[in-house]
Amino acid sequence: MSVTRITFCTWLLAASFSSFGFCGFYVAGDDTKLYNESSRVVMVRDGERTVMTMSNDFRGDASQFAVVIPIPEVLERGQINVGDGALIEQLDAFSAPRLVEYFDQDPCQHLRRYKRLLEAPAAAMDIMADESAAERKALGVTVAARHQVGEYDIVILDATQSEGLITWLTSQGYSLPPGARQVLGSYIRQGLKFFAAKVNLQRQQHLGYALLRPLQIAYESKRFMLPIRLGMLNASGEQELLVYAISKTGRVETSNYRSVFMATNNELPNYVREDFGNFYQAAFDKHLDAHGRQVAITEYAWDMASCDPCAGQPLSPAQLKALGVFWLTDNHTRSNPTFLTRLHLRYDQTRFPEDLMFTETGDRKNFQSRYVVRNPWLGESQCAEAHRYREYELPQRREQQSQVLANLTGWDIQTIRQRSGLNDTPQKAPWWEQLWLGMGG
Amino acid sequence: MCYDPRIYQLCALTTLLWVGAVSRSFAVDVTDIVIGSGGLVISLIIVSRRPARRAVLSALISFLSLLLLLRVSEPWLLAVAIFIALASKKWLAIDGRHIFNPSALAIVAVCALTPAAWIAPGQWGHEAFVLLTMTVAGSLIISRAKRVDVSIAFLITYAALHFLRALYLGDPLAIVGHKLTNGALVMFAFFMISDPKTTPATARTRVAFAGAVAATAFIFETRWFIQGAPLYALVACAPLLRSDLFLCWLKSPNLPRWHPFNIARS
Repeated sequence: MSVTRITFCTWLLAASFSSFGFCGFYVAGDDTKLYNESSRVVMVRDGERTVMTMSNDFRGDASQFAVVIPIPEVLERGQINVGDGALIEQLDAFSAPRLVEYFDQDPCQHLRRYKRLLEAPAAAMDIMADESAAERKALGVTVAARHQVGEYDIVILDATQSEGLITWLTSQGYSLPPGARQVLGSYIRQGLKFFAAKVNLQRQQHLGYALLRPLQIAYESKRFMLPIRLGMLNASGEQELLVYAISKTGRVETSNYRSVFMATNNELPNYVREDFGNFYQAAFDKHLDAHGRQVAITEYAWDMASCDPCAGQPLSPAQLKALGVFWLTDNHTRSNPTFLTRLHLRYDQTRFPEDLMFTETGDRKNFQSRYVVRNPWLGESQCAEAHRYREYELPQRREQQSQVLANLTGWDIQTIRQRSGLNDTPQKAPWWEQLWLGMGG
Repeated sequence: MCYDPRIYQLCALTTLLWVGAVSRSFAVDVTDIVIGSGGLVISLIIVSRRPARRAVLSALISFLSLLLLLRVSEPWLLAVAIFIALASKKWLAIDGRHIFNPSALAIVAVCALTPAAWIAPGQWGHEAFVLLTMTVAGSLIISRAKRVDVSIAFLITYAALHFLRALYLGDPLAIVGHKLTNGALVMFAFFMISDPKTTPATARTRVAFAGAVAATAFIFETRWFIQGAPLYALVACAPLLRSDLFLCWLKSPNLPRWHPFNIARS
């Protein structure tokens, strides 16, 4: 029997920065250890309606892929869709932390010219072989529905006991990690159903998609929740999760964990431009440390009708609808407000024992993780201001930027100073230097 | 004067606001405080033309509670909330006793009126430092106000219900621990439900009332997934406080207005 690797979402969970990842975690059927350490999920929510898109960057053999997702209700065929992975990439680039670049003016000309550059962050079956109904009944597992959607074969399972569900899944070639029984049992008792999907290789070949496309589900539930518990069962250390929440009313925040904003609008040494990915990773990690690593970090919160600056191509109304923004009735995002929140979490079982619960707030204030580098003026003009600029202002600014960078990342200040071109401690300009400047004395 | 528990409560709430603003990055800014304070003054004048010192202290406590528990995207909503709180103290009262906890009612009402106001139960996090600050300050106040039993009964009932649920679901105790160490819950237990004006007079009835609020909050939270369930539960259970009137009406209009749920006149 070929061994099937499974991913368990908890009704959501998703992709990854690393080589693969989908909806939480993989279960290696043999001794191979597979880790799903990051996920990307788009959650569109209004009232009790939710559309969830789970990014899938699985890179392995498609026959080895499977996913089980707890869901609040039995889904009809029309509630399941296969989306476009490129849209999630676009949403990610659009909302990613950004670096803005400015240029100093010639101090002698008193002319201001500027240019902005953007840099996207570096970070930027035969499903279920047929078995007898009697056997399923004995296990307390009911196949509530079977659907064929795109390259996936999907079954919706209704179980009454975790033991039976595990036995049934195991009989279908799934291999479950230790601890799955407890978590599945909890979801069963909470009245949740299970969505299990495998790739139909024939249809995948026929459709011609090399990579697995994201699965989308639409459901109604009072719970605005993202189950993460199953996904942590076979995770090694912390897992990375990016949630792109789209609502009508405003920013979305976690309600059972603290949400904090990422540091923003800091001016950094110029060399960060070439190393923005590493900088952001370090700054993110330090920010987590500063807040006890038990927080969701808001990296972006902005009305989708605008962006300033736009770190990526804004999504068109048609693209938003494809992501599940169901309230878009015409082509005007302004008359159909859509507010995007990007939440970034790094979680493990110790600090995040509970599933994530969210709340839609009325906060429509725009926020973005934005960092600035300022290019010095390198002209040769000679005047008192230019002298002051070169001798005092520039070194002082570099020192300040170095300190900001050291504070944000925890990197060694001496190394930063060296890389910023600061050899000595910058001197302050004498207080009297410009006292009679321009008075002809 | 020094023994007035309101003074302690005012100091504790101010400290918590400071802790929240500094270490929890609350979205409380100067505009919120200025506009809210304006609303506080105007509401005080409308509700009681010449407010007594006690009324001013009480109004300030309500205002600080709102700043700590209610999040708004429009600062004027804080002014509306404080007006609702003070108006409920004045006009939603029977025999001079409040029917609803004024701050809880204001928060629930404003959240129901507009999505621009919301409760953020996760804003206080689960860190020991904040919990310790709240517990120490809260213990001081409830012991001064002689309402230790309410807070303890609420926390024990709430904890017991979640513990039983975890046993039923087979969930690890870490989940129960995580729920119980929520700063917003601890804050509610020490600073909201313990309000002497809206708790029954006798220890036994206070414990029963706190248990009812905890059970209602548990149901709101686990059945309807309501954010800030304890606040809604406190408002929902308020009629229990005046069940004496209901019983009187049921039996006979001539019966004395006596019932163990009678509220203290403090």
